[in-house]
Amino acid sequence: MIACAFTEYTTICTRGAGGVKRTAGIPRSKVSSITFTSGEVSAIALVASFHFAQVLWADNNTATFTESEPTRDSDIKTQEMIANLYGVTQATKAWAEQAEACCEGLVLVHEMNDGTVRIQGIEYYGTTAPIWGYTPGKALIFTGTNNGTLQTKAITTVKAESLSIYPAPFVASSLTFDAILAL
Amino acid sequence: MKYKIIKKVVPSKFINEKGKVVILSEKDETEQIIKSSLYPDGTRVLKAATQEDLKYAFEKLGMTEFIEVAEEEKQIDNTKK
Repeated sequence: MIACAFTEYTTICTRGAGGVKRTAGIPRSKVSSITFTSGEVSAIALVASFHFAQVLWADNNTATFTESEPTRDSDIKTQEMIANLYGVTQATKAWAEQAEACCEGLVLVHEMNDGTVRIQGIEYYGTTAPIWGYTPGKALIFTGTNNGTLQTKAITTVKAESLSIYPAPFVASSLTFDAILAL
Repeated sequence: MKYKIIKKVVPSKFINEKGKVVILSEKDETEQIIKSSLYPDGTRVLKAATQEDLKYAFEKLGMTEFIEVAEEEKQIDNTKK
């Protein structure tokens, strides 16, 4: 349990693109261990012969990761990654069907356009064991299609939704997105 | 101090201190991977974790579910007490 504190924080103006650039995912049973250092994910271990797979989202400025604020009546945040794949084809349909079939839940690593990396599907509890766990509402993928109009492109819409108590953890800069893909 | 791998049905892999992927196994293991120019036959060999890797995983990564201090070391420690 993270201890109560209301500390000083000054927002610094940063310019540049927001949103999610790419996501790496794996069924959660294939993640064997996660290490946290100062509240950030510093190492991940996987079951042999399983790998994170990368999805590069459509670059149409629509890939977002949001966490709704909890209310007085509920501690639960809804975490939502919404993104698009260009096109509605047999290939996107097959991808979507397989991703939706991961009903055990997923661990999703999102690389943002500002360079930060966050993980959806797990949460950090604090320094006292157990220090982390899966989110109470597992991360699942839901997809749709939009064949567009005469002037807009067809897209496959992708939503990754989970319910959490704590915000999605950040990944330490020492563990890069590409290193996670190479695991 | 020496470390020992706790045997699991399927071994786990992790990134060692040098940034290489190694496997918690007593011998090198071949795993399936998506075919690419780097892995044209769709397989790659993962090196077995060395004592140095086990020490890093146990002490720095906290992988205590997978690694333990070797029994003889524990006994030596007990006699010291």
